[in-house]
Amino acid sequence: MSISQWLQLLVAGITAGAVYGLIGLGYVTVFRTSRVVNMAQGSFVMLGALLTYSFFSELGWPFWLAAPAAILVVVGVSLLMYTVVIAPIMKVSLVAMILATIGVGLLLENLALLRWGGYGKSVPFFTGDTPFIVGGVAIRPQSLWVLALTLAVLALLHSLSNYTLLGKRMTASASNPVAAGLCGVSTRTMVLLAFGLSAAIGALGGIAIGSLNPVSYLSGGIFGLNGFVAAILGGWGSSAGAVVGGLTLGVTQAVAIGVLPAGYKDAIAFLLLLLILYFRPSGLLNVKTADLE
Amino acid sequence: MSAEPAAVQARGAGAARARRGLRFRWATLFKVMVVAALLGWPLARESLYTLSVMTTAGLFTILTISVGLVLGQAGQLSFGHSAFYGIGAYTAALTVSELELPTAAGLLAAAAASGLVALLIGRPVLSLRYFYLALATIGLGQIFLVLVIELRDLTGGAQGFAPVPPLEVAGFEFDTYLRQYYLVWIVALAFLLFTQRALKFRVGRSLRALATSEIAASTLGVRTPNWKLLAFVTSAVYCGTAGALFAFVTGAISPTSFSFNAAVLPVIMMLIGGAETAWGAIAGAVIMTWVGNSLSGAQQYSGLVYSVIMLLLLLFVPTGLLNGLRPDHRARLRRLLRREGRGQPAECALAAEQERSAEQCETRLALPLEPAAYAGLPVPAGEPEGGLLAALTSRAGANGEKPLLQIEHVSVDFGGLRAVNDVSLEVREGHVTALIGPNGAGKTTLFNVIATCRSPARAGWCSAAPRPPACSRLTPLGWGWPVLSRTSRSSRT
Repeated sequence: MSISQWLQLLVAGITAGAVYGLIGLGYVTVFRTSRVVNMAQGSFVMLGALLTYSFFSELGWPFWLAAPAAILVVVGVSLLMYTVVIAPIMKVSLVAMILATIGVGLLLENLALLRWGGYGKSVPFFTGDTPFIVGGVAIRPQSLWVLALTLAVLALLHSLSNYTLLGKRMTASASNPVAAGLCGVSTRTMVLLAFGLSAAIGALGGIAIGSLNPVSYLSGGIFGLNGFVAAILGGWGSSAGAVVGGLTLGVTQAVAIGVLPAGYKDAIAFLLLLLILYFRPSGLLNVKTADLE
Repeated sequence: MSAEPAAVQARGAGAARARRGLRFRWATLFKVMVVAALLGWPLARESLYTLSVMTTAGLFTILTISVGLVLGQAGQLSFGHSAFYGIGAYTAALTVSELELPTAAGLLAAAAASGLVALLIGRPVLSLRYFYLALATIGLGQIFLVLVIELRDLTGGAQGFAPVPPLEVAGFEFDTYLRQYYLVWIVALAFLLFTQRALKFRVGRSLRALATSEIAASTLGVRTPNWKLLAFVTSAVYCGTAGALFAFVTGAISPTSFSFNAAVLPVIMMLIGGAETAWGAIAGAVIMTWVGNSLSGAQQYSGLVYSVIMLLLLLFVPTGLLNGLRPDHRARLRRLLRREGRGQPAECALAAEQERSAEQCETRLALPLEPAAYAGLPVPAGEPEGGLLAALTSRAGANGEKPLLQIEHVSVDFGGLRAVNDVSLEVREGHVTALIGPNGAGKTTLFNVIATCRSPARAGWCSAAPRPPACSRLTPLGWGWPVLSRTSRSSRT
């Protein structure tokens, strides 16, 4: 392959990687506040895209209204999920909790299958679809949007947890819920906030990628797993780690597609994950997280 | 010293057995009736449809037993079973069709292949915990599916692989529905009885201990990596066998049978039957197979129904239908019905302990309540250590003088604080040694050094200490710590 073809793959890889990073940020946000690993995160991505499709194409709303409305609905779903399912099960055991989030993910997936059917749906581009050519490589404006969105969310989360009292409260309610409660932090509110935030991030990711890849009910699982792999790859629990991991994963997959048949793409993600888990469990950024028991 | 807790435990277990005596016999009768019903009904009324559905239920029973072993008993959140199921099916199909081996050899090869893969990847994968393990094993399933679909020439790709001849053992061909039914269920019941017997002994206790707390189990001498690997490999062998039987029974296999849904379904079945006993697997598998079959007319709703069932089970009966509601829900229901009495204290403990049964709670509570054995002993003063810590030793009238534990010059620093300062002590066989000192003297820290020196990396306790020379001598003791038994509020700090 020529250099420009490789560069084209690289652009595609960075775009996909940015989305993986964005989804990974959703996992990290919930985990940092509640120690919950929300396996249903991928479903938020899928719901965000499909709801935007419904509001935009079926109801005929303008895009600037359809996208925020979809995000709001997904946030509502997430809060409902926390209140009805996660909060009561958190008392049982960590294993039951993870199983429950998988159950919620399956539920949302199957509801989406009933509502939207098996075919992929697309949402409009943010700003047109005329790629500009840089040195023989076509770059879609949407790719830049995706990358910018991911970096913006990363910056937002970073300043939230490092420079605001609210962010510190959220972190506190995960590291020691009892002590946080004694200091007057409402852990329940903080966790609800984190679930809402992560759902919004997930839905945003879905809307951003929904114009480049058609999204179907199955996309949630694939995006969710890739985002999760991204979060672990960079270093579980760190926002920057999720983005670094996402970009690494996206570029690795793109390079793999250049060499191997495209079907191996998902296997590459997991092979990379297994290697990282064996040889560098603290991730690329060497993040230390407290051992769970 | 070592005999004491064992004796107490034996006494507790005996009492519990006496209490349960009558119920125990009813349970046995019930199990015999279940087995008789399973093996007897096809003779009374032969229906091909029912037979084929129940054969599927039998396959799922094997999968559920294997999930119950890894997830239910050992508490390891592994979703690898669908991959092992698939590896078994494809190994059997390929060895029989491509290598033209006899089908019985294909069955053995399938079980061996799954077990081998589990053995190779088990140790590194199982050092991961909770969601890391879940993700790594989901990844394993994905990699398997990708390989099957991509290696088209060998496996038939997404189209699947056919035909697979029926199983033939010593000239007897399992080619009718009835024969296949008996084949699958006899294997399932054999696995079930084997698992159930094994879990009554050390295997079961070790697995349950590491499910409760891996750190606590390892300080008590349970070699957690080995037991986890054992459970993982055994479960893979079960799954591989089930996969081979699936291939022989259906005669055609395709990747869709081994997708993520195949990984979730046995988990739901295990949740229905409860993780405590392998017998629940039969109930779970039969119920869910029939639920799935009744939905075959409305396939698009099946995922919805499965996920709702899974969530309801997790929310209200996380220990299985047979065990009834969660203790806190039960208490709430009782309050709603205004029935008198607030429940036994054991139930409160149960609410705190959540997952385990009340009997286990009681035995645990009974264990440390035997101070009489130590109270009357003469206590000559030992050498005081470091001004704060003192080790008191007394002969308990035994004969051996062999040192069981030697600690030499152990120090631990936390930042600028020296918690344990150059402690040396020796515990001899037949002596009762007590370590006393005021709050903050470093007793627990010393215990932690002793307990975790088998895995010093954990929590970083030992890293601050000069490696106690005793530790290197202790490791070759094989089973580690038959003497070290510890009750603590929290093994984790």
